[in-house]
Amino acid sequence: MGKTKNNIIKVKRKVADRAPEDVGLQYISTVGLGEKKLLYGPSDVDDDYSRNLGLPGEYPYTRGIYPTMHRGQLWSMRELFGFGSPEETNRRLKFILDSGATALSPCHDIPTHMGLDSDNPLSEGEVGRGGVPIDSLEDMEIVYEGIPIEKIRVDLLESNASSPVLLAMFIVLAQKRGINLEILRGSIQNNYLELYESMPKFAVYPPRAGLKIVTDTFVYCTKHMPFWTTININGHFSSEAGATIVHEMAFCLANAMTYVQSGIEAGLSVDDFAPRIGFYASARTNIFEEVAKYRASRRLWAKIMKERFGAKDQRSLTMKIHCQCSAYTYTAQQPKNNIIRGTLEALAGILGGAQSVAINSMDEALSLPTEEGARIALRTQQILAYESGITETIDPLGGSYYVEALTNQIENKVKDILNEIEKMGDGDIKNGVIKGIENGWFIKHVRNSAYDFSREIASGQRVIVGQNRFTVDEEIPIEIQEIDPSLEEAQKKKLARLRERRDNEKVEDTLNKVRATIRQGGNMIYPIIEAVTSYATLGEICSVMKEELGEYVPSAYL
Amino acid sequence: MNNGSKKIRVLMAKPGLDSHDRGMNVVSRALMKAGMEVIYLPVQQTVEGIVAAAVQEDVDVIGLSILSGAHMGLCQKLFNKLKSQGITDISVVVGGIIPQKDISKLREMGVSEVFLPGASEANIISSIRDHAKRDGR
Repeated sequence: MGKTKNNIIKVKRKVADRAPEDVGLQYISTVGLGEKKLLYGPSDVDDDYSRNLGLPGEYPYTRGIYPTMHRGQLWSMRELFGFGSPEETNRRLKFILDSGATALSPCHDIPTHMGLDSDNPLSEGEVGRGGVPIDSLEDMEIVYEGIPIEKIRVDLLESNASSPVLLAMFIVLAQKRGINLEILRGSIQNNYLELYESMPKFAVYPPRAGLKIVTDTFVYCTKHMPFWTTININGHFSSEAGATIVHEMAFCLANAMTYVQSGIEAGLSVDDFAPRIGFYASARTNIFEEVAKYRASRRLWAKIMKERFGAKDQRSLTMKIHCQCSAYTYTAQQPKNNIIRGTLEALAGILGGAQSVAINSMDEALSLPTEEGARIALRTQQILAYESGITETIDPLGGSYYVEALTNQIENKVKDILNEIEKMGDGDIKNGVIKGIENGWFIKHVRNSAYDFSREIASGQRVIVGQNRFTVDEEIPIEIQEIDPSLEEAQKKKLARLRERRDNEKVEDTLNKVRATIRQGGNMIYPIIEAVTSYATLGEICSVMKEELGEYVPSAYL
Repeated sequence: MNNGSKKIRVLMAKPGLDSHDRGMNVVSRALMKAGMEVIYLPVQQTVEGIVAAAVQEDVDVIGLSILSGAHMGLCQKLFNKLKSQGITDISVVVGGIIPQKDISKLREMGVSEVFLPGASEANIISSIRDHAKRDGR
């Protein structure tokens, strides 16, 4: 051992005397990690194996959260999609299931995110673009018609105005089919804090109202849906908006701590709800940084849950991560190259020990996914799973001097940022997060690094293949998926018929209940379920919520 | 108002509900760094709001960011609004996910320049300078 160590140090000295340019390399800081070394060796890592690494399935879970990891169970393979009408989305869902997808994540259109019905004037021209419109329980019933929601995992990608309403619709859908809520395995994203941090103008309710929705969901699901993931704490939005990987993870963990603290303040004991917290992280093309990010985050989360929140249930300590491959890294130029980018990103997520992966379709920079693009994205995952051999052993990069050093470095950086946030809140992480949202601290970091990144591309310092180097003379093949305007009309008509058909007095009653419950500070999930059952529309319920919870006005920061 | 300043004034805005603003933010900063005055409207603007701000701020150029696919309808609305107010001295440039077949239609409508994903910063800056100059400023 000693001999090897000396040899490696000698090699390092030799090359370290030369500036990186001498060997034709130019290192660009992508992640705020500072300069990387030309070579890593034993002196770069802390050797305390049991304290820092341990076995997979054991604290601190650096090497994975389960004892057998992907040998025991492959990650769930997802594709995000959804467009046009509920009917068309239902057809696409079935197509995706037939192709071998093992979980569904339908996207909703922007009016649905904002809590607007399809017949709201603000929704004009936006209905069915980029996702499926859900105006009422009726649409939910159409989307999942013929799909065994008790067997397949459904992830509801909703974090804004409509999150508790969409959850309630899914609950009522299950109830009407006679499915016991206790067996449902899926998730609601509920990723409020990150909205304020990375796309503040998009957020509808103020931050504390967002937190209330999350804790109400914790309380409801703890009681009625023990296998449902109540939140997917996201790093993907901030990462796509420009955050470096250390900021991505620090924001994600600061938010996670805030949610856990809020759940405890709402009267839950940590091990009652923390097992159902999920994470949703990005993956970009720099494989080793991403792998280290996943490993470091898992370790840090286990420590935080154990040391700070006193969690004892192993499931509270383990960070369950969905890897959402980056779309920002994709280029409109030579778009087939994006298949390779998606492969690298998914590879990073899988080597990092993710529980679930979604690769973007190669045409992500150009349009909504085509069927071919979606299929290739899924096939990429299947090739990684069944042909590449990366599932044959757990954490194959564990023990690499470089990856372990990077893992330690990222953990330390993230800890420093968490301390900074806590300091902003005078020693309280939740206050720090809210303060940082209100004074623009988060968005400033996100936008500064987005700008730095674009400067690096503009100067040619950062190479984007096909975009600023290795370009060809080409016409960028953008094709907008034409949304048939008659779909919007049909959706509006369907809604008008519903408003006539339903018992409008009952709708009014249930909406009043939602209002009264919010005013009294009660759990809003219960009356929202009643309102959904009476076919109150998404827009009607969200209007009441906006009136009672308030609407968010972010501080401007460019 | 302009107050005799020679700086090019650009209004940056994103019409519609889409809130993916990374591109718009980065371009806004690049224009400021290039010495332009940038009037930045946060996401989710109406066409009416954009035109009102452009008039009030006496801008040379309106830069729209549209990724949602709704560019044809939104740009038509914008030009109708500009025309109805008799505004002819403001150039309009659009950045976003725009199919080739729509580019010529947008130009016919009056859009001075269309920037696609990956458009270089230098190209955007020089083009905006040109269009501001061409209108005699």
